[in-house]
Amino acid sequence: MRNEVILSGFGGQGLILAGILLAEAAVVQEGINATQDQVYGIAARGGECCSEVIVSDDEEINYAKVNVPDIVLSMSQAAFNKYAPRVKDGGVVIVDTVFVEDLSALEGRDCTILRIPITAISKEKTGRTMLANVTALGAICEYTKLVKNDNMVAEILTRVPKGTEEINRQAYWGGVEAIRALAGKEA
Amino acid sequence: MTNVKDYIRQDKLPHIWCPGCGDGTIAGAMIRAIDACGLTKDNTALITGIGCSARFNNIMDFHTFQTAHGRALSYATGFKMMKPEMDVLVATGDGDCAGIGGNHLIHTARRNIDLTVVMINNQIYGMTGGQYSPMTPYPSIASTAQYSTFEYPFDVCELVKAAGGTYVARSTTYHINLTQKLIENAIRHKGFSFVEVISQCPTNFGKRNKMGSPYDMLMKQKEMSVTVEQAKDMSPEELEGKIVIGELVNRTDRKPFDEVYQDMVRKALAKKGEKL
Amino acid sequence: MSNTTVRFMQGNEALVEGALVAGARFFAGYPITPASEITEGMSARLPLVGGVFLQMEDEIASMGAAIGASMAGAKCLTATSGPGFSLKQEGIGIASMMEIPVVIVDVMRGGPASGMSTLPSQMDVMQARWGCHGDHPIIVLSPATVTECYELAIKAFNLAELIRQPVIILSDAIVGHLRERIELPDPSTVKIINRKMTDKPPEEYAPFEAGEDDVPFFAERGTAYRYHMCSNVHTEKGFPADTNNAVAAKLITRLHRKLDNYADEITCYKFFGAEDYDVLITAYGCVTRAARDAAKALNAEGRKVGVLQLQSLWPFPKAVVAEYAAKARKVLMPEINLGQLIDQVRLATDRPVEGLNRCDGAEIRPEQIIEKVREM
Repeated sequence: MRNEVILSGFGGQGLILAGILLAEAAVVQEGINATQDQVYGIAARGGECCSEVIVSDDEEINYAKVNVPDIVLSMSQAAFNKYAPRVKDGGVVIVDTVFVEDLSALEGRDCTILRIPITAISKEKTGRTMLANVTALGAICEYTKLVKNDNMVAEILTRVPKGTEEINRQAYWGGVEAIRALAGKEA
Repeated sequence: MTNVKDYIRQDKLPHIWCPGCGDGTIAGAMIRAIDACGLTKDNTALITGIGCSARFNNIMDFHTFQTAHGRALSYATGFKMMKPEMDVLVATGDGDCAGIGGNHLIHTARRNIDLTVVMINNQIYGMTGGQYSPMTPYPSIASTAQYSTFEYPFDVCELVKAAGGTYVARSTTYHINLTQKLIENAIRHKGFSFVEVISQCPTNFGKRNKMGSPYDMLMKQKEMSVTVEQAKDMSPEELEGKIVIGELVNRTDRKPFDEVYQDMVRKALAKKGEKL
Repeated sequence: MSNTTVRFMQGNEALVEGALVAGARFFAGYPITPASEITEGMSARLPLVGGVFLQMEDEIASMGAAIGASMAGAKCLTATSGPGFSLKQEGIGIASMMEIPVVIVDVMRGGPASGMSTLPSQMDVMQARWGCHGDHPIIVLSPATVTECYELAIKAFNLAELIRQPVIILSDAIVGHLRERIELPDPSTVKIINRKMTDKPPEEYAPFEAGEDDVPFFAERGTAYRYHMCSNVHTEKGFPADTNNAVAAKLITRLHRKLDNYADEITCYKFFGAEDYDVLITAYGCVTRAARDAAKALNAEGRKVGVLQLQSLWPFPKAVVAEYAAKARKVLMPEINLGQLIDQVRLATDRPVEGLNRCDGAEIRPEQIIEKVREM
């Protein structure tokens, strides 16, 4: 099955890297197909940022632009307004409530919205907001099962600077727990 | 005494230069300097661009390349980096080096790559028929300045100095022994060496500007020249219109480019070693 | 059986990997989007393998330094995008005339001028063929996947060395930046071609005396083989003969004949889709990806569609296109430009050839191709 994911926010949140890690984990750790591409402007920081990931466990991926995303991660209000409405009917939008307050762009849409204070969780678990991208990966993988948590963590650890392994784990599992807590509430 | 003929491809004579041209004189000085420095023909490369100066290496029996107009320094940079053990010289002209190749001159000097550059400054685009160059004195007549030039030339040695060239010198075809000595020093210098040689183009510059015979042009060079030592005590007004000859820069405080590159490689390998 | 390694890699990164496996040991470049990852990759890798990386003052100098290093015996790469590619054209002429192997990458973006510097295009197809002055031969290869970036980099170096010829890799912002799965072979199993060296003694050696394949032999610099090379029309000994009509005719025709001799080695393409196709889509570069998805969808609904992916664009593989087009009722040529290669396809076949074009900085989507084929 082909799953299309958009990770969006502003430059500097590490979302390009998060997209790369998600797809890389799918390819290298899970042995399935995945691609990653990005939309970028001329500003390195602060501007709009969108990382596109396609994961497919049964067929090759040719056209690698996300058309109708199954999953959208929104880590800024502007990104939410721009990308969240593209979500597939019945799809999932994960919003970082630290940056996204106004959900009206999705009014009347048939989709699941998961509200998680991603950046706050990163800050709480690791003392820094910088690892919000890793927390977001925890939330995405726990909810979608695109990549197993252990495989995702293993891939993240291949890329992080020495000495930061533990806080990366903390940040990741913070995202996982947030999804489990939401599921608990629903149940 | 050097037998200049030993370094000449006899079957490539006669050369293409006009009677009275300074290029042959400078080529002779270059060969004598190469010989004096003990360079071997097999281990020496001479790279040129386009123009009268580009034909230096037709007749010289080294590893020779004639490349694109103005780009000899870029080709020489790539060549030298892959053949650091070879002695690499560049012969170029004022249009080739200070005009179309000006940007390469600045940055090749900045890198301090171990090349010896001899820039023949005949103050004109000679081969193409006498168009004015960035070195043409103001005011002059040229084929593209039928009434008068309307641009000022610049001091190319000052440019190379400012860019970081570690050996910079100037001479003339009249002062041919000095020219040979300066080229020798330039070859021995480790780093970017630049020798400007003021030359005469009787055909395409002298004639239009009523400068007389080649002999008259050489005498004019003699008249205009002052040594670096003499120039020290002269005011800017007194130096106006003079050619300052001799060694202008001789620095040893910067390593040549290939050594700095190897320093970086050692850092890279050490860093890689840490990771493994 | 050889070992392969599965990696997740960007097109530009894979190109660096392929170039290094092919033996590239010199790179000179200048920063430009979307090719900078190649320059950055080379700056990280070359110092570790005994190679030289230089960031030059401009694109012209990058091209010159690469040719100069190749004259010294190294396999050389330079990489750029459209505007920089324009500046390199002078050097491409030099490399053609002096028969210096060099590989030039153009990761195409939207133009002309600064255009759409972060967006993809296929607008340099004709520049790659005719951007350089003079009647020069050229080889142009175009990858559509990350794996092809790796494979065609190796092929480009092999052809450059084999034929003593500049070879252009025409990538694009999509393929260059896309990350996907790649299975890297054990480098020791990859076929590598090196330049032919003379076996004649120095006194008999003529640097432009060609072998039976019309390709001359190199001799090591810094040895007793002191020879001249010039960018003018030249004799076999390498000296200018630029007013000699006979020498000029012999040289220029030989430069072209070299490529004819190696046409089979140069030409490369792939076919996808229904063997009994009714509509043939000819595509290259990133558009191939959309074309393959479109063909899959159309074939699933009962249309018969084939995709001919051209990997070698120049010399244009006319015979291949003619053969494939002959089996189709109609041909579709989608391109991210206003129609550059389509005329070559038209010259190759009497079948009706329709274009599908855009020039707004966006990719051609599979849906567009599907819609177009349904109308055909």
